[in-house]
Amino acid sequence: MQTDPKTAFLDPLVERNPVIYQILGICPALAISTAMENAFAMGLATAAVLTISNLSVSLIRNLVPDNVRIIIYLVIVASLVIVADQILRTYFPHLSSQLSVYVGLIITNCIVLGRAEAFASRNRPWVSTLDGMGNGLGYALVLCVVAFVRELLGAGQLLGHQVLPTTDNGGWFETVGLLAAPAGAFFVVMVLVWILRAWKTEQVEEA
Amino acid sequence: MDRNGPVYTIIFTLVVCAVCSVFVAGAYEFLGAKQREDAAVFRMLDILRLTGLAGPEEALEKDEILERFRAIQPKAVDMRLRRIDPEVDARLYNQREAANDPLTSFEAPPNNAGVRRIPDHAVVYERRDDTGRLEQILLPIHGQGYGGQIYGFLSLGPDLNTVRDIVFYEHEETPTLGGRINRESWRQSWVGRRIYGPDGEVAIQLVPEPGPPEEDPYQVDAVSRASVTTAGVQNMIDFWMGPMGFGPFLKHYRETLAETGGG
Repeated sequence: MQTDPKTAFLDPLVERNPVIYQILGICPALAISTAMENAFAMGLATAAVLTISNLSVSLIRNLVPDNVRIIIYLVIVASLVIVADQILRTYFPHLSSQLSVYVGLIITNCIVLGRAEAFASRNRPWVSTLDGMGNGLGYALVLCVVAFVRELLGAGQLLGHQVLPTTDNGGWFETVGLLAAPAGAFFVVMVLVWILRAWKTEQVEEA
Repeated sequence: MDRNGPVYTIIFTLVVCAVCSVFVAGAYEFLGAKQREDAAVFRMLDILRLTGLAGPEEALEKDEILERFRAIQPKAVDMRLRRIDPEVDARLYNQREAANDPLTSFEAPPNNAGVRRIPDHAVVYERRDDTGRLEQILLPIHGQGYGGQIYGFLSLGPDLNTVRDIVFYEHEETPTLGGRINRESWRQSWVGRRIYGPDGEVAIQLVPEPGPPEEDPYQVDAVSRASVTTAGVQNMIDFWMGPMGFGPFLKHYRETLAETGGG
């Protein structure tokens, strides 16, 4: 079965989004999505790793021994994550220190290994690359949307700039502490899932 | 060859690992140098703030930091020979990393300051005026406080005895109690005090409510209601200014400066 390139790229952006449709990669989505800047950097780093790992896995898909395929994928993903982490550390030391261990933990993001095993190991390199890009950008998109809500309502800020004057500083805006806490991300992701399923009713599971 | 046979599997795995390790090693190789350089620039900014050449909140570009840092001369002191070692490039030397590495440090003699290892080299920072005379020297000090290790700099004037300033850039003391070691008012009480008495031994004592420096040159204000922090600072000064720390170096350096007229 071969997926056509357009579907491979566009589907995972919203309709089959890794976070709100496949419910994958929730852990870093919770940890990182308190501020948009972090979410953006983390999303792009994940998308880059995912794209290149999908391409690499697809290129060697007919050479990999079945018994060791998962660990081979992991070795590739781990190497890419280390390189991505080093690039962030070198050129964006401030962001890198804020993202701390979460960049390294991209390797444990189920989306990366999931796409390698479920898609790239069965599809041609070009389609796999697009699938990786689509999933990565879909993931980044959700991170940014969640972070937008959490940063705005949790801290009254956007991209680090104060847009709503908080009561702490004599303004009128009472920050929503729940949204600043990790659990707050659950609620935002939940609302996104709700919106998606209200729009694409075929995704609704039978009760 | 059989794709699922043991020989192929092993060879394939080894090849993948080798290729991946080339990428990982390459990343460290190409990016590591810039990372170390940037970390060194951040340390320079800290020093500029300590010597008053940059404001505490002032954000500076790298070029500006390097430009202002020209007024500062880092020097590596060989902690075994207690002399300045011109062979070591102090700008690239990370003293704290060196102290943690058994290959570049040695075991400290028993002490109350909680110092376990002394680095082979300690980096001191000098600020000189336009004619090249020493104005200020920053000596790195650290030791056990109440909440953890306290790291700071003691700044001495050209006589290598009179305190110009003291600052602790990293500590875990209780806020509003021991944490007051970074308060301007407490730091001010150090200015003008002397570390060494007439006999050349460390004489300075932290005591409650001493008089002004002219009356009590060897006494400095204790951190009230923070006895453990006070003891920690006292032990730190005793150790690093004493015979196991910078004492012999400062004695020798004072003589050198006197011979060369401070230059």
